[in-house]
Amino acid sequence: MADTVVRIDNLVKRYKDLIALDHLTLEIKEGEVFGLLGPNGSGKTTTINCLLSLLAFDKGEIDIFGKKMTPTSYDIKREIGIIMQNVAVFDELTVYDNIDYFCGLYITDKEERKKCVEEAIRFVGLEDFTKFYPKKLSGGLLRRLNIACGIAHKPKLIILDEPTVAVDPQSRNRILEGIEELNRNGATIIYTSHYMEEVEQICTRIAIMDKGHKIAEGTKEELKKMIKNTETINVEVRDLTDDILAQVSGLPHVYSAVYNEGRLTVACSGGKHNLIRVLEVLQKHDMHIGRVYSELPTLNDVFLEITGKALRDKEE
Amino acid sequence: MQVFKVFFKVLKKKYKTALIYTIIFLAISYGLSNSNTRGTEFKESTLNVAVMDDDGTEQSKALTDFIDKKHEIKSVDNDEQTMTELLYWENVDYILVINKGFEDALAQGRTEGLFKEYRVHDSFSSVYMTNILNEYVKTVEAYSAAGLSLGEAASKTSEVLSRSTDVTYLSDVAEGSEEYSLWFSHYFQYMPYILISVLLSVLGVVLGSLNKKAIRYRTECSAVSARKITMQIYAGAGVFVLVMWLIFMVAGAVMKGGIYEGKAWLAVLNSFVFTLVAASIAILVSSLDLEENVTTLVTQVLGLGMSFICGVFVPLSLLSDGVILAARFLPAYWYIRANNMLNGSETYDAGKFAGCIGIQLAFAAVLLIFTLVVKRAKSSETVN
Repeated sequence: MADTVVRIDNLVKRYKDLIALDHLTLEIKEGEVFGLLGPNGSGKTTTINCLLSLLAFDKGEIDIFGKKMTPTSYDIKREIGIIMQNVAVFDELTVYDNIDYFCGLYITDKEERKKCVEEAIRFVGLEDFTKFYPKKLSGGLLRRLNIACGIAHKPKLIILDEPTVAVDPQSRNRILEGIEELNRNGATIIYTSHYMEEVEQICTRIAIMDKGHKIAEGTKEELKKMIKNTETINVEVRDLTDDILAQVSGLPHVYSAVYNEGRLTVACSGGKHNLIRVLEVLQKHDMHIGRVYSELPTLNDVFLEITGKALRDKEE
Repeated sequence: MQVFKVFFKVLKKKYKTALIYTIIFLAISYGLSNSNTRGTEFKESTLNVAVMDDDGTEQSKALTDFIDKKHEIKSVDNDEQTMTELLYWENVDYILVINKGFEDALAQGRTEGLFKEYRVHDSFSSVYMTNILNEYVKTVEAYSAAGLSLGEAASKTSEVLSRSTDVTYLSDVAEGSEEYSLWFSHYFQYMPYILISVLLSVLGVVLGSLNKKAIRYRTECSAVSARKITMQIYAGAGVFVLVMWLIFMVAGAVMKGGIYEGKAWLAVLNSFVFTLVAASIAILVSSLDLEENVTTLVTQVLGLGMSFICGVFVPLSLLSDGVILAARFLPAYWYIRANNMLNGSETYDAGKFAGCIGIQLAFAAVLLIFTLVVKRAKSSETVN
């Protein structure tokens, strides 16, 4: 069984009357890509700040690599890499100097550092831009530089706090591929995001947070099994009568059927061949059928069912 | 020493601002130094005067001869347009027409309507020449009243008013300030402006860059302690501040052509203490996490504002009581008070001088405490 890299036990953090973290308990194993998923204000960044001892907490314990984490745990900090949402680089230094500076905060030996910096540059694909100043880089390249600054010292635990906010889809994919590669190379990853698709794509285990609580935890499959909905069927159909809608609602495993503006939405819990059964009812009544598609539940459905609200009301 | 080194790497990208301020300041100081040298020689002003004698009498000729003794007589055509052009192009400073009946009027003791003049209204030359003519007429009148004939009065007047006095500058140093020349006084007087401008626009921006929230966050997550990071940043700042101050001190000594002596050393001490104040202001401004252009704006407002209110650009003696009252709450005022004690504008008192230095140090301490409060408040800001 893999070793525990991070153990958060009963963590409580208050900002005056606001409880930012409410008895949060987490365990992250070596080699995992652990996703912290939750809407803005759910306590993801507070958790990370407490984890890094940048923020004092009111109650609880944090162990990293089996040792208690304190503000002066420099031996632990040496093994952690942090990549945050805001690009943290010096505009006055070149790409190379930026990576060298941040790497130098962990590795003092010049030769060793040079190797690490060059590897990091290769890893993020900035070989042609080493003498460029950050202001000359595109948004995507700047994000890559931000990542290189966080991983150059080869940390065993890498924390990525919403690293893809305001990033174009191409750069986002490249960043996600990079994270998977870092994980393959042996790093344990903690990934916070409110983009459920990203978390679903790369995380091996996920904790969903809301208002400082951990509301669910497990693999994405485990999380989806926690909810009633297993399949949502959408059918574009004209002039559906209440009688036909009642027949669809009465099918086995169907727990909800709604007809609205020419679209029939059927929610099913478990069972097989639900789509065929729905289509059979519609065919029996000679209904003119348009587009038909079936959706498996997403993490948003999980969040919606547990909290009664969506992870993101609109695309951010 | 990674942070210490990066301080200078960032500084390297910002040093041009300091260079521009320093060059301009030193060039102006050098110019002032030269103009002060010329200012130690006295030369009486001479005007180009055109005289048209419509009277043609003994008295009018005597007046013309009197004017000729100290000024240059120019001949011009008696044409109004020509005369106006000559005045406009400053070929002549004053055109005097001695009216017909001048001698008779003097003999009768009348002083009105003796002359007609063409001049540039309210110019120095016009006021100067009008005064000379008034003085001449009144002196002739006085001698006549004393019983001298008109000819004798004119001759006596010419003799008396033509006397010249030898003027020699003994020293450009105020009494009791032998080692602290007026040049030094000027050089040190403008220093608050240059120190605030250089330190805020360079140190403020460099520290602002190192203390940027995102950078600070990443640095504090690292394996180097926050204390070590802060120490290295301020060690870099200290070196920069010291070097800038030394540049101004060495440049002052070089331009004046010798090492500081006596009271000049007190000015050096005063400038060092103010450098600490300016550095404290820069540290405070940098802790506010402002954009670079906002820092530049703050630099201008603080540098110019403090300089105008506290007597850097305008002598304290010309400022109103209200302004001086407000200036007492600013460190540059106490710097200028100390400088005034050294150049003799204010009586030197060791106790009062020490007081001015102490108040500046207190300002520096308060600014640093305020910086700590700002930093603490920022670090406890709510994070998501």
